[in-house]
This record gives sequence, structure tokens and C-alpha cells, in this order.
Amino acid sequence: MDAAVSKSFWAPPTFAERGASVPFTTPIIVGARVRGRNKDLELVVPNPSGAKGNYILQWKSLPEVFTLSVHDRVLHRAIGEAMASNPSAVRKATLKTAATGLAGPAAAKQAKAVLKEEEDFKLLIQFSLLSETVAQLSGGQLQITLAHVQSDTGRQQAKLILARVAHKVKLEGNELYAMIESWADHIGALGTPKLPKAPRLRKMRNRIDEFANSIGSWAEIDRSESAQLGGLASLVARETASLAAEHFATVDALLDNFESTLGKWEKNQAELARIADRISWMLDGWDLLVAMWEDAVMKPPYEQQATVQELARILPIVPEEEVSGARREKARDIGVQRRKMVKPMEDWISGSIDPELRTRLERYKAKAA
Amino acid sequence: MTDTGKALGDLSQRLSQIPEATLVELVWTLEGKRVGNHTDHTAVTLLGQFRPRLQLVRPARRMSAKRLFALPFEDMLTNAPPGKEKIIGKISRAVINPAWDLLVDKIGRTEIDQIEDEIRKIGRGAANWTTLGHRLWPQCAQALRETIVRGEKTVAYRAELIPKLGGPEMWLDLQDIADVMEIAEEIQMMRDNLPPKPIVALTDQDIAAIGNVVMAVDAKMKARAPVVVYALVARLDQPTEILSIFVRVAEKGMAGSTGELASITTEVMVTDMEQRFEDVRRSLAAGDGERKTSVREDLAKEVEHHLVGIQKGKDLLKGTSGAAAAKRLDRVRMKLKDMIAANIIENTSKEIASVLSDLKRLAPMAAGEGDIAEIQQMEDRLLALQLASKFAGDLGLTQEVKDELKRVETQIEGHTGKMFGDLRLNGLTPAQRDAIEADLFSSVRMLELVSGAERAEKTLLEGLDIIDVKIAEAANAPR
Repeated sequence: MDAAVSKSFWAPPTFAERGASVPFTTPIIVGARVRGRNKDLELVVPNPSGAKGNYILQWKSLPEVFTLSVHDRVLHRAIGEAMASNPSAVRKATLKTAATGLAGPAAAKQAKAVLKEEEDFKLLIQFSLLSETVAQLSGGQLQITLAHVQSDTGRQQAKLILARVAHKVKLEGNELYAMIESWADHIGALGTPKLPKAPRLRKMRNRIDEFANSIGSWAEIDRSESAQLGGLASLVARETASLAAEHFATVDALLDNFESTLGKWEKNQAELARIADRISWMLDGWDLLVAMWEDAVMKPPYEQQATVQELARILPIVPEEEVSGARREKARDIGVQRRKMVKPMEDWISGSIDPELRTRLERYKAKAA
Repeated sequence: MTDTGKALGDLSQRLSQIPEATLVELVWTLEGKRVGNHTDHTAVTLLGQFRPRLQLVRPARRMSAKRLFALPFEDMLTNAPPGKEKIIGKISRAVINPAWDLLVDKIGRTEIDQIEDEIRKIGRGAANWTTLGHRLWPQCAQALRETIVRGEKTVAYRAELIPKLGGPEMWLDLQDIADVMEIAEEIQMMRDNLPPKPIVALTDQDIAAIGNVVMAVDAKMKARAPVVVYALVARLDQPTEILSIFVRVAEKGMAGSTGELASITTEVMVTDMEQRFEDVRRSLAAGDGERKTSVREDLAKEVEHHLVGIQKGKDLLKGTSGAAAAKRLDRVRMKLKDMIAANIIENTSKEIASVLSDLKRLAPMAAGEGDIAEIQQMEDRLLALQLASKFAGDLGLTQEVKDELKRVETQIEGHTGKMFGDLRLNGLTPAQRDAIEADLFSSVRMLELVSGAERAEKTLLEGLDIIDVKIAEAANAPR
């Protein structure tokens, strides 16, 4: 195996070092991550022998090292062709591959629904921002309707309305419209607190919170050695959700005063891009864990215990260098705790593809997309 | 389905998404409603839907005197249809209400009301119900024993009682309840000290807890020792584990009367295996999993699980006087064989042929927002067939599974072969590309499920290559 064991698996210093989660369906590489290295890609995979640490493989060598499902072969090619090494690019490749049906019909249906929903959110957020901009800058005198973002004619009319208030932020109507479009692009997956439905990442943050509560209360009553791991998973989830909540609060604060936000747009846009990127890294990989636990909730205790062992191995701990102060201490402490507790997972380790395990991963995928 | 049932729709499908804290609150409120009004259909239906999750989450339930009465034999309860022969070690859920009515008459409403008051005072605190059971269970034991003795002596009394209970088998269940009540504190202590049902593994501490109960029952009322076996088997994931559990208990020097219970232990173990088969059979016959997309896959997993238990049971019975029991286990295995043949092997290739002929419409890539149920059912069949191949040898079905897999593989390859032939001959236009690719991806997925990834990928690459070449030819063709 052309690979090196990395000690940083248990506590990667940065998000980029941790890599973006790739939802493979081949059990042996569950929890694997892709990262960019010297104009190439690498795969970071939990040690296939089940021992602690992880393996780093050249991306292109993956199909030679492991027997992959057809879905994973296609996904591997798609990620390689796109040189995808961040959560957003990997997600695009993932949804495109899942839509083929190679990970099962449920995952295909879900991928198509998600793509459509994301388009709908884009429009809704754009509308929400336009409408709020006009309302705030006109002191409630002017209004934008949903029709203004649904067609080219509508958009032209919206620009005319914006032109009437743009002077308040010393801009032309077109410039103001472009800013709002850019704002909506940045928060497409984050949404705003006022939207009737939360888009992907805001919803994910809430699901992580629920995961923390659910697995935490399970850990209190479980009598097996998995209980400690359940407690750890709850702690990591709570930390992640709380850190993400702080970032969401910063993004949401920009909605309080449009005049001020748009007045210093260059600076605010850069900050918005930075935070949106950090949130997507922070919550990356959690969809699989949450789906695993939601599936286990209806299973007997011994299956729940096995699931907790599995998910503890791939818990996405926030890297130390991405946080500061007390949080950094906590992240380090969590890394140490996990290193002590997690055991090798023989179930996932096999040369051939176990159809039952793969089906389970596909089911998680259909829930997680 | 009742109106309430319809209105609740597929709530059971979404149960896993209800956070635990919310579920606990919901159950508490609904049980409160039910206490006040037994015919509150919404509360009753909702609680019915929650039952599978309640068994796992085990939230604090709203206790009542009746529930306290049934607590020690909760694991032994069965939903077998009325009129079935008495099952050793099991008690019909349907007997609880008539038995309780009988007890309320005998013990008296005042005493029951006082116990209800005590329960209300405890409220939602994590109560040790054994303490309160200490007051109720001996009264129940005495009242039921008197009833049974009278019924055995007086035919007329028994004849009057049996219809009230729901039939002759319920009379036998009532006797089992009386037996449990006589050692209810010991049984409940064992339940409190063991992991929840279904138990997969026991620690040394758990074994010691069982040993303590065995010794306590021997000292109190040795004749009730079989009840310990019933209660324990009912809590195990694999009933066959009971034999090795008693070996471990004996190793701790706490065997007590378990050594004298070999035949009854074997009987309960085998009966439990038979009952589990009956449960699977009943569930299949009732179409319980109709709305699920993994009916056959689940069946294959369950059968595999039972086969492990049967084999273990047979191994443990080797060299003992359990030849008859081993034969009974063999009979269960034969029934499982028939079940697998009828539900998983037969007709798979025929159904696959039907799906293949309509794949352009059914493929997930092509189906838009449409229904994927047919394609999911087909996947379920193929996955089940693959799973069955793992244990087919134990059932003597190796060749049957192999032949069916081969037939399915031949059909899929025939389908893709024809598709590739048509493409080579007739080419395709860019407008046709999506539909052809949808068909190809779905065929490849099916092929992977039966023949593995290597072979499936080869077909995928061959197909994509032909599509690219033919699209390029179409683009370069003179207009």
C-alpha cells in the first residue's frame, strides 16, 4: 500500500488538513476525507487495519488499493476531475453521482430533490434580502414581491425599485442588485432566521444539536462501554453546534442594519465569505453521523452500541487551530479522550464489499444528502 | 384503518426523527389522557404507533396499579392470536385486563385506589417499583392462587370463569401469572439488574444477579424455579443462550435448582425458537412490511439470525438427552427453508425481467419526482438473494440460490447486450442520451448487486464508451 500513517488524524491542526468528507459507500473507507496537496489530491482514511491513526493515499491510487463499489469508482473519478478538495466542491460531485442511482434509488431521489430545493432556496433568500433592503432603505414606503425574482422582467422591475433607494448607500441600482445577489450566494446554504424553512447548513446545525441531546441521554442510560463514547459524541456535537451558532449569529447580525452592511460591503462580503466557508467546514461530515444515529434510534440496544462505536471513530472534531482560548483547550482534550476510548472496528474491515454494510451506508446517504 | 389512524398517516415512519425529550413528554401526556379516558382513540392510536420506539427509549411511563401488576411478567407477554394453544413460558397480553378485573374484585377497590394514590405521589420520579410491588404482588399472588385452587376443585366455577378470561388457554395463562406473582419481587429484581430486552451478552455481574435470584427463589419457593427460566429466555436475543448462562451461573457456585431444570429449559428454549418463527410467518402473512422497502432483506437477516440460534442450540444439545428437542429445531429449520425458497428465491428472475423491460421509465435518473417503489422492491429482492447466498448452505439451498443468481445475471447482461447492440447499429442523438444513460446506470446497479463491482464497472465503462463514440459520430455526421 502506497501510504503513510499520519498521527494527525486524531487532532488535525486545520480544516484543510482534516480534509473534506467523502460519502463513500464502500464500508472499508467510510469516514474518508479528501484534501489538496501540491496541486494533487490525497485521501485521508481511518486506518484500514483498525488500529489508531490513519492512512494517506494518493487520490489516483485509491481504486488500486481498495475494492470499491461502482458508485465509489464513479464518485472517485468525479472528484478527481473536478479537483474537489473542499466541502462544497465535493458535495457537487457527490450529488451528481448519487443522482445516477448507483447508490440506490432512494439516494438518487434524495439527490435530485436536494438539487431542486437548493435552487428554490437561492430564489427565496434573494427575495428575502431584496425585500428587506427595499423596506429598510425606503423606510417601509416601497415593496418587492416574489414575482420580482422569478423572471427577467421581474428582475428588471426590481432593479428600478432598487435604483430609487440605492442613493442611501451611495450606489447605483445595478450595483446594489449585484451586491444583494452576491450576499444571497454567500448565505444560500445558511439562510436567514426569518425564513419559514431552514436551508441545509442551518438545518444541519439544528440536527447536530438534537443529535447531541439524543445520544447524550442515551449515554446516560446505556450500561455498556459504548456509553462513554456516546457521551463523547454528545460533547463533540454540542461543541460543534455551539461554535457554529456563534458564526451564524455573526452572519445574521449583518441583517440588522442593511444601510451599514451595504455601506461597508467590501469588508463585510469578505467576512461573510470567510464565515460561510468556516461553517461549511465545521459541519462537514456530520450528516453521515446524524443519519447513522437516527437510523440506530429504532434499533435494539446492541445495534445502538455498535453504531456508537462506529461513529466515534469518525467524529469530526473541530481542529485546534481553528478555535482559540478555552475552546482550543477543550478541542485538545476531546482529541485525547477519543484516542483513549475508540477501539478498532472489525465490522467495517474486510477485503471484499459486504452487501449488508454497503446497503446500510447507502441508506445513511439517502438520509444525509 | 380508523379515521384517527388515517389522520396520523405515516407517523411511524417519522418516529426516529422525534427527539427523545419530545417523545418522553408526548408519551407522558398521552398516557395521562388515556388514564382519564380509555376510549380516547387519538391517545390509544398514537401510543400504539410509539410502541417500537418506547421499547428502545424506555421513557418513564405513567405507572398504574394494573401496569405495576403486569411489570414482572412484561417480557413474557405475547401477542399470539387468541385460541392458539398455550405456549410454555409465554403469557397472552389479552389476559391482563380480565385478570386485573378479577383481582380488583378480590383485593377490593379501596386497596387498589390507595396503591394508585401512592403511585400518583411518586409521580415522574425514577421510582423503585419493587418497593410498591412488595405491597401489591403478594396480594395478587394470594387472590389468584385462591381462584385457581377453587377453579380446580369446582368445575362450575371454572366453567363460569374461563369465558370471562377469554378461553381455556387463558385459564392456563392465569396459572402462569399466579406462579410469577408468588416470586414477583425476585423476578423484578432480576429484571432491574439485567440489560434491557433483547439481551445479547451478559457480564459477570449480570450472571451473579441471575445466580442470586436463582438462590433466592430456591429458598423461597423452589417449585417456582421454572419461572426464572421463562423470564430469562423471554429477555434474551437468542433463546439458545440460556444453556450457557446456566453453565456460567453454576461456575459461580450458584446453580441451585437449575441443574434439575434441564428438560424444562430445553423445552422453553425450543418453544421460544418456534414462536419466533411463528412471529415472522405471521408478520409476512399479514403484510406488516408492505410499506417498507426492505421486506425481503429484513426477512433474510432475520432468518440468518434464527439459523445461528438453531445451530447453537443443536450444538449444545449434542450428547445430552435432548434428541427430541434437536429434532424440533430441525423442523423449525425446514420451515425456514420453505420460507426462504418461497419469498426470496422463487420468481426473482421473472420479476427482474419485468423491471428490465420497463427500465427506461423506472430508472431513478429518469423517474423525475416519480415513484421509485418498483425499483426499490426489485433492489430488495436482489439484496435478499445475495444475503441468502451467505446461509443457503445451512438450509440446503446453495444450488437454488446460485441458479437464481445466474438467471438474474443472464437477464441483466442480455438487457445491456441488446442495448449496446442497438446503439452500435443505430447510434443515438444527444436528445436520447439522458434516457439511455439512465437505463445503463440502473442496469449496472442491478448487475453490481448480483455479480459484484468489477463486472458491473466493466459494463458501465463499455456502455459510456459506446455512448460517447456514437454521440461524437452523430455530431460529425454531414447534415
